[in-house]
Amino acid sequence: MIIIRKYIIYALLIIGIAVAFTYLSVPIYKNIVFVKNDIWSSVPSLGDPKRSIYTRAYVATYGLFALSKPESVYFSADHDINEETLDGLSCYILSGNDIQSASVSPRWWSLTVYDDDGYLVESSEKQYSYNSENIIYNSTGNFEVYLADRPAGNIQNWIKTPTDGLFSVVLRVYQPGEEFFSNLKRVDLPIIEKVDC
Amino acid sequence: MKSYLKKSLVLILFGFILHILFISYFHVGMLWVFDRETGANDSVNTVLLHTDTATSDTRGLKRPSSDVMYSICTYDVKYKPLIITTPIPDSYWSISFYSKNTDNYVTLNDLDIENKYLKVYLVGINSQPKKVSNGMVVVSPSDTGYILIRMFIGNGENMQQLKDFQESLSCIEYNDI
Repeated sequence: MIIIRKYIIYALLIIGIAVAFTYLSVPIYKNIVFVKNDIWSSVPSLGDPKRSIYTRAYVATYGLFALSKPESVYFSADHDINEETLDGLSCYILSGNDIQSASVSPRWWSLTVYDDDGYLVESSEKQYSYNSENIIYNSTGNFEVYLADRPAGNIQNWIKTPTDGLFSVVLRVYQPGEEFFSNLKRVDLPIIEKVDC
Repeated sequence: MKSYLKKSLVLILFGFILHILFISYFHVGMLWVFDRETGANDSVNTVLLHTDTATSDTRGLKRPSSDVMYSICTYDVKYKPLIITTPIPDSYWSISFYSKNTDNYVTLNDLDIENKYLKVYLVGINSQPKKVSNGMVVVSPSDTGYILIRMFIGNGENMQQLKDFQESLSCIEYNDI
């Protein structure tokens, strides 16, 4: 009985150590692998067969079937320009230039809001995202998207965020070209600012 | 003291091995959930599903794009190849092949396909056909896997046309081997 209890304790210790390794590996993985561009984080070739076991597990957690270079690149933001976590209780303006008009020219792009579980946020308007063809640009060729749980009168592009709870924004860029991939840290991407609701 | 240190190191080593195993096979658990929610286990070598654009009710796949219409085929090419045929729209379209560990080993898009019509023979390591005609050959690194077709909806004006393209998709076993 004592021997069995001893082995149960060993097994629990091993499981505890494995959990600790897994818990510690997440921030280490993000620091090593993520490419940072202001508020955005990206892993350059998520679906690549040569990816590490950690990237495969990351993709399984966040989306399962990811594309790889050169087809697409995904950027994710879960905080604003003041490093504050995106929260459904607050309101934000996401603003940027037309990514297609930059010196590097992807084929198309989209911006999508997800709740903390990674699903689209319930919205009676069913406007979960904007893409390069349906977003409304202003007269200077830039765009603004209002991120809040209710629309603002003066901004036409609005994506509903969760009424309470955290959320994230994913920017997908399709067929961005080699120059885009080699400048992931520097390409001009939208910013997210908190504003008064 | 030495014995205590040795035991600790052994426990840490086993803990690390368990961690590596967990990370290595984590996707298997997520695929199991995906297969269960989509019925993938019962629909091999056929079109599993077509989706309209994703909504807040969409489950089974996290972070779906609501700017894309998806079609999914699951495959098992251990004994027979699969033929995938479909017409291709003028807008962005891609077909991505995923092995059973979810690696994206091949992606073709509308710019890669001549004549706006796709015909692909998906073959396994041991299921090479004797002859193929008028088509591309893609070799799957695993016997089983998934095929995802993405169609960009743009401003949504051509949704019905894109749905017609979806309905024209065919994933069937190739029996002439």
